[in-house]
Amino acid sequence: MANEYLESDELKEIIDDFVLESRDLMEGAIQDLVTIETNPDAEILNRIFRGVHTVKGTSSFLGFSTLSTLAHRAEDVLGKMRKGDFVPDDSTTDVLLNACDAIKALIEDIAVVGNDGQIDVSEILQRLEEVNERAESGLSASEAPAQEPAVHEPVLEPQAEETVKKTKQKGGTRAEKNISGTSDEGSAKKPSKAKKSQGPKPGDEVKAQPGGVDETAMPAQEVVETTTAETAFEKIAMQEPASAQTPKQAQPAAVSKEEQTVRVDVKKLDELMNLVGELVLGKNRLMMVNHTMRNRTEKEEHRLDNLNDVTNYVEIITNDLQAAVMRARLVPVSKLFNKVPRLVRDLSSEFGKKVDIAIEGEETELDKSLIEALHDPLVHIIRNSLDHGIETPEERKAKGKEPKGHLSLKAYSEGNQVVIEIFDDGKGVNVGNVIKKVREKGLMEEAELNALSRKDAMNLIFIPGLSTAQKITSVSGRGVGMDVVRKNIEKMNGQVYIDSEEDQWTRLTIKLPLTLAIMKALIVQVAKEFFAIPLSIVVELVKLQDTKVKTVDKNEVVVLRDRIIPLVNLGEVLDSSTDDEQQDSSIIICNVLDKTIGLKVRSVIGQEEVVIKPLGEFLRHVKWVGGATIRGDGKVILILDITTIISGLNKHKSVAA
Amino acid sequence: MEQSEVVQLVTFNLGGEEFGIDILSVQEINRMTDITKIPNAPDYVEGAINLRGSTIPIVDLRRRLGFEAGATGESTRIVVVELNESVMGFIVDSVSSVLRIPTNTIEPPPSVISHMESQYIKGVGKLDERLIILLDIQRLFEGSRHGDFSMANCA
Repeated sequence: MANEYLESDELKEIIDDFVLESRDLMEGAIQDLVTIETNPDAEILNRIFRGVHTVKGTSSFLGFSTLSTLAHRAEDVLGKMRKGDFVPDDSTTDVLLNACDAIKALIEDIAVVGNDGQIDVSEILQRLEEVNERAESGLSASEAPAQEPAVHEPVLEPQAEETVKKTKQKGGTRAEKNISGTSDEGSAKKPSKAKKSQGPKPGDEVKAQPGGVDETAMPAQEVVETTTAETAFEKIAMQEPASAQTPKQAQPAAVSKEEQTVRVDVKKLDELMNLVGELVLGKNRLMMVNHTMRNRTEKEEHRLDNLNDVTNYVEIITNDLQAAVMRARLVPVSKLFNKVPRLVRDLSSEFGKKVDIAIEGEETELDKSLIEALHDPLVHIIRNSLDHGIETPEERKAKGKEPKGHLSLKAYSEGNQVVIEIFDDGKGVNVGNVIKKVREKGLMEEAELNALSRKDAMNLIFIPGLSTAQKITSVSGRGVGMDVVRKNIEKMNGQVYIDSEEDQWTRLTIKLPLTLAIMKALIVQVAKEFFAIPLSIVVELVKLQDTKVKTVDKNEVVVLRDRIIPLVNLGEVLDSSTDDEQQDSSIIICNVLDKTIGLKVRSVIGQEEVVIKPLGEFLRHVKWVGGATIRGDGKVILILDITTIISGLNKHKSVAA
Repeated sequence: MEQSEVVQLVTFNLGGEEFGIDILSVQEINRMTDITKIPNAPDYVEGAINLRGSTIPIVDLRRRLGFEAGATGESTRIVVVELNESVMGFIVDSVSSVLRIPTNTIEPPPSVISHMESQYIKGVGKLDERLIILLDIQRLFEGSRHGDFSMANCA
């Protein structure tokens, strides 16, 4: 209703803010719910309560009645939990989690279609009500007036920090009085009614000072402060404990942190990153010009000293700027990891397993886009772990293991890469079975299969054909959709591989670059064209004349320090015209898919920082090319997707055989 | 359609014929530059160029339309078009002019036009004695995105 008074743009902005904030709050609440299930903590419970309360308050103000009713009910249950009226059991947590999910779904609906009428929440409301009733009938303690402030205090949380200390005192005490007068079993419905009658009083005082408004009782007044809604809500929430039974906690620190962060649209960061990318290219160009000038005019070198200085200066600044912008895009992996406990909770009940989860290194940072892209593969891996890896408690006991399985997630930085490990102490991978499957399916040549190391053989679970087969027959071991996992990770220029000890453990390792936009690359010449190869996969460079190329079974190999490394002739693969006589001169030893291979190229030009440019929608499907970049001379060169080239060749070979 | 409606076309020559496309879809017209070949792309994809910092694909329109390959000369141009938010260029023999023609002089494509793939033709416009073939760039490049490419990938 208050909406009519708002310009539609303004309203949209408010709703957008609301969606953003509520989304965060509900995600936090879901994580927290899972946490307190195992480790009850009054402070965390308070946080959940405040989150749900904020969503309720704002949604009712904005007129999203379904959402506010649902949040309201959830808040009732949480309020009772908070007072210690009853101890939640598994099913309570289930109901609350479902309620949070439903709230999230409603929020997403609001974000997309602008209203909350699409989803039927009657069932979840019903269940919340049941929990509520159970809690009430279980204990009468809720009627004790002494408990009241705990439930009602959100009602008197109008103050946004410094703005209205005065009001807080006046309005606050009044509200408190009023509340203890109307105290009953503590459903938040009544207090809000009670407040309405006295709401105008503090409201009058507040009007002059926006921010001091009672959101529950006087929704309309919030219009004034919604521009700062985000921070105001936080602060409001934080004030609450001070006037309540929970003594002051470490809130001030949180407040100051809040003030130092700014929410920035990712698009703006992308834009910034693009510009920095351009700048890097410009810098490369400048360096190239500087270099050629120096070569040309050696005698007059002193004249170029200035140019040289400037070039160096620009180089340093550009590098720093690039690093700074990149850091701005980094997000801790906790964004991702925090969702895992909930996932594990749901899955373990689905599969009837008991699983303990440990998370390490969640502060490790990764580019935001990578975090998002990593979500699905991670879910898949964890699902696999719980489904096929970790055994049921009975099986585990029979094997002499603890009945509770163990899953751990670990993230850490390694040079320019971030490593994520997913470990479980389940039944591991039976290499023999994997090989058997591959053989049955005819996915690989017999000779090749026999030549594989144990580790290589294990990594066959990522082969596309294999996984489908296992899915259908549900034979022991993993591999359901593992090829998809690998594909997704490779799309991010990352790598994934598996290691395992049968009946003991399995560990999946994911390696990812810090960012997607800029990478170090080796520039090589293949026939007449230049290409870039991601430096992250390059192990070493070898001159062709120093090493011997031999042929094994019609395939070229190179012997390097007693190791036999298969060779790939990039010229042939890329089908560049080979009409001139010049011979290939270098071999690039790469590590791809946990395998070592050599790439034969005409020559190696050098190492360069390249900005990855998409080839555009039109050429998106071109195989073997991961993108393009622009070199110092302004020419476009292509970035090769070595991983697909290699897996493509393997597939081709095995199919042909 | 109203009688008085007029379309503005950019016209160019290709294999001796005069073609036109809607001026609104044309972003710019450039001289020929170095084009980086793209392995594994369909044969009518000439490669990619650097257009002020972004890479855009370049299509050889002669090949796309089923003409014989022609030599690159002084007058060869790259016409850069914007299509559904993606930008791409195509090579033409020469660009002639910007024309305004009334929509009512545009006729549906005849069933057979010389040796050209007629599915890409929107219509034929008449201006005095000139016949201008109106190309449907949307279709010209959309078809390639799905069908042809997956075929190329299988090879």
